[in-house]
Amino acid sequence: MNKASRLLLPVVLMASLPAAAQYAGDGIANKVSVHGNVQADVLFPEDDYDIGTEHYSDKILGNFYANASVFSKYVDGGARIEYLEHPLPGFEKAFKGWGLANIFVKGKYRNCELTLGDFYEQFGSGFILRTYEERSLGIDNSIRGARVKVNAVKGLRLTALGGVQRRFWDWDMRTKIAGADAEAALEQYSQALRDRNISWTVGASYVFKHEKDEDIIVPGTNYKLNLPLNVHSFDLRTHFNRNAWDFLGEFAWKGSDPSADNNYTYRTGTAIMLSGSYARKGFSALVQAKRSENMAFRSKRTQTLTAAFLNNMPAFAYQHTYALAAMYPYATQAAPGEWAFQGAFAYNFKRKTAMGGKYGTKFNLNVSYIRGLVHKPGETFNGSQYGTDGGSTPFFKMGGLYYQDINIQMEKRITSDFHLNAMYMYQRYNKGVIEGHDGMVNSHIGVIDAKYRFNRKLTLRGEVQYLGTKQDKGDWCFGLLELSVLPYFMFSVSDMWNCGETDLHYYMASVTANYKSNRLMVGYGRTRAGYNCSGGVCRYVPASRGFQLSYSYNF
Amino acid sequence: MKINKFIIPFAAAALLFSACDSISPDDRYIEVEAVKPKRAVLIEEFTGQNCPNCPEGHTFIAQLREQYGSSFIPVSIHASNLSIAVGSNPLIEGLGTTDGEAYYKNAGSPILPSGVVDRRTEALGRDEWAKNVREEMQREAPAAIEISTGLPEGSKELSITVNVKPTADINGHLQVWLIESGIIAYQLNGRVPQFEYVHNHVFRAAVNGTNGESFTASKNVFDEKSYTYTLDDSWKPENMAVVAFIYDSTGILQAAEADVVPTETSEDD
Repeated sequence: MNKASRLLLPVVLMASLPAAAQYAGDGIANKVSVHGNVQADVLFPEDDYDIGTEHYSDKILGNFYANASVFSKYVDGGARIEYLEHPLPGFEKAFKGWGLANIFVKGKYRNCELTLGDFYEQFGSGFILRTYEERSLGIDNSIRGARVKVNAVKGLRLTALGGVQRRFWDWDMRTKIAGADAEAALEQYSQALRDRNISWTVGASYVFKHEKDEDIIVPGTNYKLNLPLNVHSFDLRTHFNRNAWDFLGEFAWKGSDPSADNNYTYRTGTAIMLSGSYARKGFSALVQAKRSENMAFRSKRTQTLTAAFLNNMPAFAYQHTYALAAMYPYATQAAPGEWAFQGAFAYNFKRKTAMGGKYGTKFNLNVSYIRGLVHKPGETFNGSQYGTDGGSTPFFKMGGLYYQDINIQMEKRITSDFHLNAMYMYQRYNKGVIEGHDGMVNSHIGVIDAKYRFNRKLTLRGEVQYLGTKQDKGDWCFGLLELSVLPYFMFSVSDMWNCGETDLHYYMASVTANYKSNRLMVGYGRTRAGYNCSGGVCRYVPASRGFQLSYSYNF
Repeated sequence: MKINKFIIPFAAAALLFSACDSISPDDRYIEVEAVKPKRAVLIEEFTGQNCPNCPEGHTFIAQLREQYGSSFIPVSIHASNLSIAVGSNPLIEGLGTTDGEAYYKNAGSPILPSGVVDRRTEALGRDEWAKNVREEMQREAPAAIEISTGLPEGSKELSITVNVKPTADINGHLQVWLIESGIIAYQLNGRVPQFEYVHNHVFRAAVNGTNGESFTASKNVFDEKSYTYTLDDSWKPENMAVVAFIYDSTGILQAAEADVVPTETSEDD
């Protein structure tokens, strides 16, 4: 197939999907429905040596996705096509490719459900199994195989699955995965619990991978490792809720899994998490703690970066949306391990009170504190950790600071047309641990976000942000103006200025148009090199400049 | 409770299965037959002075060099945004070169440290170097290469002669490089900056062009190529070596290394 027709195929398929949706809706309404979406993100790259862009021989770079699913009473099915032959900057080499990335059929009858094909699944908090799609990170670690879910007994849910994992355009038959999960709602068996309005769930999960043998030679020797071909993991959890109170406890264990993540050591992995929250009208509080060690669980032992993970360790860092607050995002250290603490508190001062004002005022306080473990060195083999237990890590001892974030946010409606948000944040970011170079970056960050509604159609929002630090590239300023012309348009201009060291401006201007289920964004500007993170998983994004186009259609 | 019928046996089975695959410390190493090298193997090790994990890669390289001697030819190519270009920093001696950046880009701009073995592999993480070097050493080479050098005392004009003795027809390229060891310069080691780190096998220059020159040879017909190169004043000839290799579209066919100033023992560093 020549280059032009390979590009044309996904476009033709994408264009035909809305028509298919319409057809499915006519004549057989209420029995079958078709849903899906089309997404295209395109960059026309330009060289900009000031900000350190790479040179691309392609004039157009883009990621294209189209998926459609059919739903009916007994059978669901779906497929997704991806065209990533000329991907946006920063994705791994193996990310490049195109074709049918996902296809599934699901049969449903009474309390049973059988899925064949590609599926996503999570057991508990994801300590031993979490497969998901996150396009901005280039992650799709779906399982291709079979999954059965059964709710045969009241209050008890059972899941069993097996298959192979997707790793970019490879469904590696060298590694087989199987798992099972059982979750029971205890209040279904106890009137006493129901009478006290208690919801209490207990769950247990098991995941197993079988990976074929390979030669991992201990450097400088004539010895290879006797690798465990089977790696077992299990997870136990309990979740208790009564009225405003909620508690979650979870423990996971992973067997010997020598890999590139842990320097081919044989020690087992563990994770434990405790979480408690309280929520009532006007006030909420969340406190949680987690300790994890050697819990990088992949379907390919030699894999590095973000691919081939079977599990996902949740991030205990607040996910910021303001540009400067998100400049130094935390990436969960699953392999070396960490102690992580997080607290989130929200309080709403009622309206017509001294602190609340005319319309009420909401305050949020978020705290994240993450430290490493203390690693005591153990035996080595020819100067290498390969094949050893990798030393020891005292359970309660904490190592160096990895990340700290204290932020307080205020949301206040000043008048019926004017909203004001403000945030102050103090952040400590261990760049050496998280990014692999340089030291601690300590920052004070302030944000003012104001929105004024002129009339029912016209709203103007502005942001001013400042990041002050003596490390890395010094201080940054950020300004944004966004004009919404309802119902169709939004105009936006912004500039991120490194006033501390480089004096570089990262400007951006864009227009977004919405019409029914269509959304089109066209923009031009510079994007600074940095990390794009979601849920503790991060991808490095190189600097870029040029026209950007983003289109999505949902049906 | 009914759920005990499921949860407890489930957890017990998981524990039982996991115990079956535990490997005791005494059983973790399997001896493999020592390799008798049939050729020299060259690894292009991509590294950088601001790369905190790269010293681990340098350790792996040193271990392989000690194990295989002159049959293993490492060349450390400083490149990427974690390297410091030559002359770019008045306070730190940089080791990155324009040619090095070109080789790095050809290798796919991999994360550091990475190594390409005989240009027959993609850029590999350090844990895959030993296995691939071992496999490469067992591959027959279609030629033998001998290098001789001449550097008059007090002079910077280096003369290089590369003798190729093909045992099969060859249609490819001949590349000649200069490398230097024992360079005391800055290196980030983990999170610790070290200002007197010893850099070895560092790529300094391509003698006959970034990609070498076209080279064809007929079976059993010896060929000889000669070059002269003016060494930079900052280089120490006694720590330098010439690396020559023949490559084609399948990879490196054979490689060789010789000291710029030959020593009596000709031991590897």
